[in-house]
Amino acid sequence: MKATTQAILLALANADRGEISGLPLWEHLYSEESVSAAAAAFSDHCCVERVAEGDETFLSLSIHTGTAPERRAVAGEFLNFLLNHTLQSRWQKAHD
Amino acid sequence: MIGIENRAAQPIAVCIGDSTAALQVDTTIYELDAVLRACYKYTDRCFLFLTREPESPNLVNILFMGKGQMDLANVLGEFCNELVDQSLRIALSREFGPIRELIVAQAFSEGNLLDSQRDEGDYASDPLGIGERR
Repeated sequence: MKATTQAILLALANADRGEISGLPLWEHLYSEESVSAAAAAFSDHCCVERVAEGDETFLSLSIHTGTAPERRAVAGEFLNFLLNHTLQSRWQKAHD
Repeated sequence: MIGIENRAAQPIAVCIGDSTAALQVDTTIYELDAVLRACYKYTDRCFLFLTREPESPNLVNILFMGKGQMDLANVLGEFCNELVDQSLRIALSREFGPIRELIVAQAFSEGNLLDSQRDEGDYASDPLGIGERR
């Protein structure tokens, strides 16, 4: 398993604490529009930060409310919302 | 060694604890669209995040977080089957999609799309040459 994968697995391992930092964003897949839409949809539950470092972009999530399982669920639902929004935009463009 | 390439078995899976796992998929074997369709289907069972290794653009990493208590190793196995299923669906759609579209178009059209003469011609003009001597 490569370094990027290890970094993400470690980042997700902290999801229970409500802090996920340094998720490398695959920009070819996850568009800025999708990240913004997901951040807006979850603005009541978490704070989302998108940081560009050189050629790479990283995503950070901070969830301050709820118990550990709830924080983990919020982080997970954010990632699924982001993926679903991305795929629906992608497939919509393909059909247009 | 001539003509033989050593490659790791694909996909490669790693589980961290009971609730987090990563699966590495080679998009030269399972095309990206099949991977994305399989991921979309699994969003009701897991939380997913996709990344790509900068130095290996053909490899896609899929990160899984289980929703509640579940056997993630089992889910990963089923996901691999889903990859095969989606790849096959794409291949079949590519091969038979135009035929399917023609059948649907024919079902909703009044005339014959393949041979308009067949329905619109009359016996006097005999467009198919049925009355000709053989």
